[in-house]
Amino acid sequence: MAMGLRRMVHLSVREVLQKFRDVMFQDRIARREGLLQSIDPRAKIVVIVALIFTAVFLKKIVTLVAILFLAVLLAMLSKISLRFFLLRTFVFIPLFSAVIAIPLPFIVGGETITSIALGGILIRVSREGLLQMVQFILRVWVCVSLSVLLVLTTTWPKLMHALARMRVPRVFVLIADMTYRYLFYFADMLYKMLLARESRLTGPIGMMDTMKTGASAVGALLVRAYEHGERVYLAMKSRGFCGSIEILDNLTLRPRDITFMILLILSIIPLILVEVHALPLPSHLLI
Amino acid sequence: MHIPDGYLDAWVLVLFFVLTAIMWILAFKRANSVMEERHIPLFAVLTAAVFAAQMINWPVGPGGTTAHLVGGALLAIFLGPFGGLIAMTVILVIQAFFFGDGGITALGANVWNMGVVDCFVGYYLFKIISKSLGDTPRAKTIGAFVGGWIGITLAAFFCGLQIGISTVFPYEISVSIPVMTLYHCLLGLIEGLITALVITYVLKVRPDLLELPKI
Repeated sequence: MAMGLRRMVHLSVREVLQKFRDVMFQDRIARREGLLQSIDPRAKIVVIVALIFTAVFLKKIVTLVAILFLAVLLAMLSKISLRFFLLRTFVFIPLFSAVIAIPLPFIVGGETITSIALGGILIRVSREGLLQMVQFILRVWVCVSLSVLLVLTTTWPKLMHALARMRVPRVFVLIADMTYRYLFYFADMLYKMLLARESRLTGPIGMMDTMKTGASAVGALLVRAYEHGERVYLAMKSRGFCGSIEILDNLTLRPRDITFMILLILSIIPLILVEVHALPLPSHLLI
Repeated sequence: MHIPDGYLDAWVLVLFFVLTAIMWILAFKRANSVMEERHIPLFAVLTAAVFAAQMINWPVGPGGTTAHLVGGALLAIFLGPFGGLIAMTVILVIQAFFFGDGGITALGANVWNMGVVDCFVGYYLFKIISKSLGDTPRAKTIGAFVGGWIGITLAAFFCGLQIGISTVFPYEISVSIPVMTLYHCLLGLIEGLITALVITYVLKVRPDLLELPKI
């Protein structure tokens, strides 16, 4: 573990920069002039949550694919490039879910569709297991796509305004907004501290010392944050802060927000009808 | 540990959202009575600092495995259990919103695990152990280690429970609970160690920071 500290510093610095880049990139998309960007954040939250709740109930491949297409359509109307959207939504969480679901075709009982001979042992692949695996991955992909839509098209200030309007306590909104504002300030401070420590290394140090160095950096960060917090308070006080904030927003639910909400919630109905076999569809589609 | 969207049944999402909401209401009642105006920026910057600390990749074992700090117990030791809950809620909202860590509909369940369970278990274990061992710096270090370790382990137990009882998740609780709990029982040793080392450092440098009003 001679490289412990160096590795810790490099990976952590990379993560800080990656997160910073993600936030910048996301903010740029949220400022484009697309469909979802123009909708009131409260209407968006209601629609996205309703669609995710629907997706959790859906079991048929065809309805899940339909809702995925709806998400892709909304993404394209919101000026999010298809390639970026599919990559952003599929890589990581659905891929991770696929790894979790891989054993299913082999352990779930049911109709055998094929068998694989592996070193003298015959492994059965069941139809039910395969179906369960596909449903799970697809459902997770759908849900992640829907929530990414909300995330990619709403700027942080708009989300804070929406939360304040939705009766979330003001003190929470204030703390959340300030935390977001200082997050990268402290991330920057932390990685400079780690980098400085690394540059003073004269030889390899063990894992326990690496942990101690990292923990001291975190401790020092907390102490600095505390001291910084006092200065921030005084700066706010001198600008008239008196314990609460006035939120200046121009959020109004316009007719187009209401129309958007009604249209999308209505789009859930055919999905549910197909799900409960109330709509005639060719039977080979209804797996 | 962050549950994404699509892993939990609707009733599980709603149940844990309601349970967490009850704790939120209690937390804000307490915050209103304890917190002064000058504590608000302080609270926010400490939360931001722990959030930044979560980005460190700790080298934990052979083959270059790394782990992240969750920090629920650490925050609760500084801010009190309800304070820790508010701070973890802020962190989880920002994570769900910007970094895709944890789903938007699963926010209630995630805050229950990492905000309620981790903060309360971590805080009270820290309190009880450090008191019963004589309130020395050494006792506080041991308390912080156990608090961080068991807090994470129990949070993982609840995570296993939530995904296991959901029918959309393909495995039963007989698989999900042991896997989540045992894995985080091991990984939690690192969380406990970091929590203890950070507390040791602060006790050496600015012990008064641990005497802040607790929420």
